Amino acid sequence: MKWSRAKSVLWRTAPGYLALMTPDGAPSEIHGPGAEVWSLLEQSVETETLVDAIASRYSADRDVVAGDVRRLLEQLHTDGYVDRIE
Amino acid sequence: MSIESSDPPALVAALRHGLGAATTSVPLGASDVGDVSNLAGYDSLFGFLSVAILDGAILVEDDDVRADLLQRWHKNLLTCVVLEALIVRTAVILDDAVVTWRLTKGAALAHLDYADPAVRTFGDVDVVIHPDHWTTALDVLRDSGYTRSNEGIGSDYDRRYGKGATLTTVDGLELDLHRRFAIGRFGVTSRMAEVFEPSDTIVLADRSIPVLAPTYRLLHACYHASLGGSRFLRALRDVAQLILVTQVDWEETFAVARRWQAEAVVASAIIESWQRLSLDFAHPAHVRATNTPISRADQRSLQVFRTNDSFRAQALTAVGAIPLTEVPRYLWSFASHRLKSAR
Repeated sequence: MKWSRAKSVLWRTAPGYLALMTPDGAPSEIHGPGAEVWSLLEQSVETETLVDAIASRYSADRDVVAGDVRRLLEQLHTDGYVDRIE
Repeated sequence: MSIESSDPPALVAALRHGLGAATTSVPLGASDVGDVSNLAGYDSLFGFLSVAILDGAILVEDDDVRADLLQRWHKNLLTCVVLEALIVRTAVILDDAVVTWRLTKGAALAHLDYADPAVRTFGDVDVVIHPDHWTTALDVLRDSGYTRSNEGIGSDYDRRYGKGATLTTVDGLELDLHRRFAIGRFGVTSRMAEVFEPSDTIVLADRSIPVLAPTYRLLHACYHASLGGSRFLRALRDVAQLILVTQVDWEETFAVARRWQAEAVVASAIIESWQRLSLDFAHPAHVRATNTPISRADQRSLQVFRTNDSFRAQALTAVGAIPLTEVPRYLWSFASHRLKSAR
């Protein structure tokens, strides 16, 4: 499954931080590696590619990272910040 | 022109970081943290400060201080996305009413003139409205729930000579509508219809947003730096950024300023930017600014804006810049405006 940023999203990033909003929504903040996931979403990208990149970046257990990344993507999708490309 | 300054060295280092000036790391000592934080909070400078810290241009030994400054930057960034949502909603209203307008200052500069928009944070939204569409713009925004928070609605002064209006949304966000870049001497001689002829755009949330073209972004930045009241560093950084990084055709900006009888505004802004940001390298725009003859009347007016923030004092600098035949009308409309505001 691939993901990409929704066209209607507004955002700002800083190291370890991400602020998000849609024009008629409420703002959201994400602290930690989620900001890096966002930077990788500049192009449409496979879930597994995101998991590999974050696990490698933090030298973390891939299974743990996979769960965190999937939960984050689902939340971003629910809030209208990312599109799911089947 | 002599400009005295007591800007904290760490803040100056943060604001000159990224401009190509030679730098040595500047420590942010415990005794300066309070001043620097207060000034950064007032002028929305935590982006510049944080990036300079992360890049090692400013040294902060206390981890708590460092964490606090970064956290305050994050708050600024959250404000920026909230304001950009306001820009998109405002664009829908103005475009639907076929109002000609341009985004300017904060969000425009952040996206077009800074490599990373996160560095240039802002605390409100600024748009310029075409003079022919001023009333329509106010009407449609008021109909959409924006309220005007300063006086003078409908006065002759407001229409003929005013700088603009500040509108507030129900959730307390500020939208500054500009009809001119300033009141007083350098505002009444402006030719605002010109600024809409060329245009840039940015895209926010998939919507195309019209933005002032580079020549006029620099001109507006100079007006803000020279006449904006408080002499804060961010306005000066914007002037230097547009000249040194965006490489705006500053000669064209001077040419427009000459037509507007406002060369002194541009020259003064560039000179003060170089001085306060300690830019000690030569640049033709700075040479042009220092060689610009500034009349005594212009100097007096600049000084009024520099030292006196009363609306009356600033507005009355216009007398002398407008044709003699128009002075009675100016004074009458100004007095009427004051009476109306006092009620």
